[in-house]
Amino acid sequence: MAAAGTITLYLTFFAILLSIILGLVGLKRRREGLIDNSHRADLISVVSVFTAVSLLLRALVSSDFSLKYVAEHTSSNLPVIFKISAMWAGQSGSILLWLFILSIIVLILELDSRYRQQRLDLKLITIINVFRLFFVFLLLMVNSPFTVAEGLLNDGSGLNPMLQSIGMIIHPPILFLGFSGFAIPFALVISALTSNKEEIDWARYSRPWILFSWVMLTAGIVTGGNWAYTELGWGGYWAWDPVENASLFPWLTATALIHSLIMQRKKKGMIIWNYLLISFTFILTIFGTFITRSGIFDSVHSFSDSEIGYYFMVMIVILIIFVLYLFYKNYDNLKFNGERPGFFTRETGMILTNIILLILFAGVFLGTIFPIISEFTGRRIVLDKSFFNQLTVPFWLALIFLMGVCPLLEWKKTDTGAFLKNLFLPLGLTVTTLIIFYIRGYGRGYGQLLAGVAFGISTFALVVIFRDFLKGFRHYYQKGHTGLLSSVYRFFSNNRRRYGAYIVHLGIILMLIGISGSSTFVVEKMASVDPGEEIKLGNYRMEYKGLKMENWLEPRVTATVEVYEGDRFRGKATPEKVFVQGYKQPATNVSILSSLKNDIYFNLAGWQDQKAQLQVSIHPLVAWIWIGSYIIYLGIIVVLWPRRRRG
Amino acid sequence: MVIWPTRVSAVLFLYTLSELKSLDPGDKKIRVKGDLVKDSINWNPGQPLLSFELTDGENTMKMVYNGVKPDNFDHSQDLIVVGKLEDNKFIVSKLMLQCPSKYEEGEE
Repeated sequence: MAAAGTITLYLTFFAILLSIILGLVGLKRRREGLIDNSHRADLISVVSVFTAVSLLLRALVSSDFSLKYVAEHTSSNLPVIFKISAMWAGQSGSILLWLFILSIIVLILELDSRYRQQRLDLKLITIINVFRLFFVFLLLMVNSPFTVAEGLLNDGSGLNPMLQSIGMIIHPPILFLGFSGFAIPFALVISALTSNKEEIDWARYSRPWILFSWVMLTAGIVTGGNWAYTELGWGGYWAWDPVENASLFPWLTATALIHSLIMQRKKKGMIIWNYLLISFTFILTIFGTFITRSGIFDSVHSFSDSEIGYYFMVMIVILIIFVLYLFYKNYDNLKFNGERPGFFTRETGMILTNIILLILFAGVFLGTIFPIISEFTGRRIVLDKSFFNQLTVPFWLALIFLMGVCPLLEWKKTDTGAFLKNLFLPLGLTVTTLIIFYIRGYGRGYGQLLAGVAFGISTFALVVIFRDFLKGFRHYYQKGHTGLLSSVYRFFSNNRRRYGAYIVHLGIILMLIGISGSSTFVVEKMASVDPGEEIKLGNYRMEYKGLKMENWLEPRVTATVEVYEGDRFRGKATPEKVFVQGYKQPATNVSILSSLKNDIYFNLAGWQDQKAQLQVSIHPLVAWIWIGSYIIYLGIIVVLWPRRRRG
Repeated sequence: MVIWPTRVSAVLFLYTLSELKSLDPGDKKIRVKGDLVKDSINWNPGQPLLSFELTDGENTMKMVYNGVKPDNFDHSQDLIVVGKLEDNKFIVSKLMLQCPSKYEEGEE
């Protein structure tokens, strides 16, 4: 297996190299024969990557411990799904996965006829192939999944129980999809800037890829947060850990990019800005891998200190120089002298959105690399979670505020009177929300005050967005002569961009509400209880019923707690500890009673006979973070839904 | 660096274990990294109280944590702790384990 795998990797390497050389020469000399052969070599490389992936998967599933990778990341008694997910449990496997996704993208480019014009397909493929070559090089020279294990092993070392979770199955590949998707927009701008004369509308071609990558990146971040939330000791759904921040960098620049692309599409300039944003978003996806893999920062999620990080660093430096050089060379072509928009317009709103996102990026970026900067002063200083919260919260709030203001502004010129009239209802409802918030007894202290402001601004944006929906829909419904449901469908399908975007905004606002509530109003308690005893926390009465020991399959100890709010039964929680074979410390399964109002989080910290030590915490509104993310996905589906071909 | 009114100290000072040895006790928030001394772990869930020792090979310091023992603690090698220095012991306010390092190198 090892030999076959290694041969496949070598074959991939030379096929990609050949495809690049034939492609470059063929494009330059316009030789059809060379171009055709470049495509053939490329297809061979795609097939051989697929072969390498299936070889590794077969070795993982059949527990072939002659491979070091299989022995290090699985064991024979591991459920099949985790044997498969072990593909991205290790470094070399992850790189192979990345290579695999890029190969799928290359295959799409080979097959999709839309890219045939002006040899765009080959140009894009050749640019992406440079990165595929880089990854195969890393696999061959630095760390291969097909390395032979030393000695004969009966069993592998297994997968840590903390990683045996749904998060392990979905989070890494989704994030890699998000990272890889930016390769096409990047290849598009680079090919536009390196080929003379020919005009490629890279903004139009790259838009669906940017939206796809953005939503994958969003999903990657949210699923990671969800995983960390349900796993003890990972600091909750977001801890401003360097590795977490690394996934936020490209997300922030890509979010800015989505807005500035609208400006370019509406012929309002920002072309240079977009070129730089696409390039740096792509570079930041590689930088993210560098942070994760180099171990240069201390992180809870740091995966290893390995030399592979330095190869990524070299790649990043080369890319930055290359991007800036192209920028310098094409500066005159990229310049666009559109009309200067008035101040009180949607244009200004879009630009402000961009500026705020970039400030957020700069702040989080500098905060993350601050330990390295501070080293020059002699004492390495790390910035705490609270630094990032204090720095970013006002800007997040400003973004939500803009989500409310922008729909009221118009392109080119806004009618001030209408604007003020439209402001009346949302502002009124916002003030009402705030008054109710304070009457209910919240708003004591800085954190709660801030949460109050967040709820107020969210209300404002929500009201504006909903009213805009209703207005537009009523108008549409009265004009049409179809039923309500088909009107809804047509309404959305005819205004996909606008209302899809509003749905995404809606999702983000709901997430913000969830984040504000859960980060401000947490209550926690640790209690030692005998069966029959009660724990009181918040408005809840938690009755501890006792411990149950099981020895079936994996031995486990389960505590049962019944939760009541007044007399109403809320649910039964069953936090437990599981003893996994090969690990002397048991693994924790927390138990979460989730509702729209709050999550009640139980952890069985320890026990003596029937006495249990329970850690209980109440996290208000957490569910809205996950609900918000589903709404975001829905919004992007609406935006990307294929247009019905007319006539 | 800090633009907004600071409510909580947002700055952690990084020290090595040997530097910590010669430092005076104080309220400064410190972050320190070390290897877990396996047979020093003492976990009393009733309190809850977790005590252990961190070492860099030469210097060892006693750590006290008034919190719940995280999963995978016994299997950890590197540990990052945040807290403050008292007389000859370090009061931990935050414990950071590295992600289960089945990710390469891992435990032997």
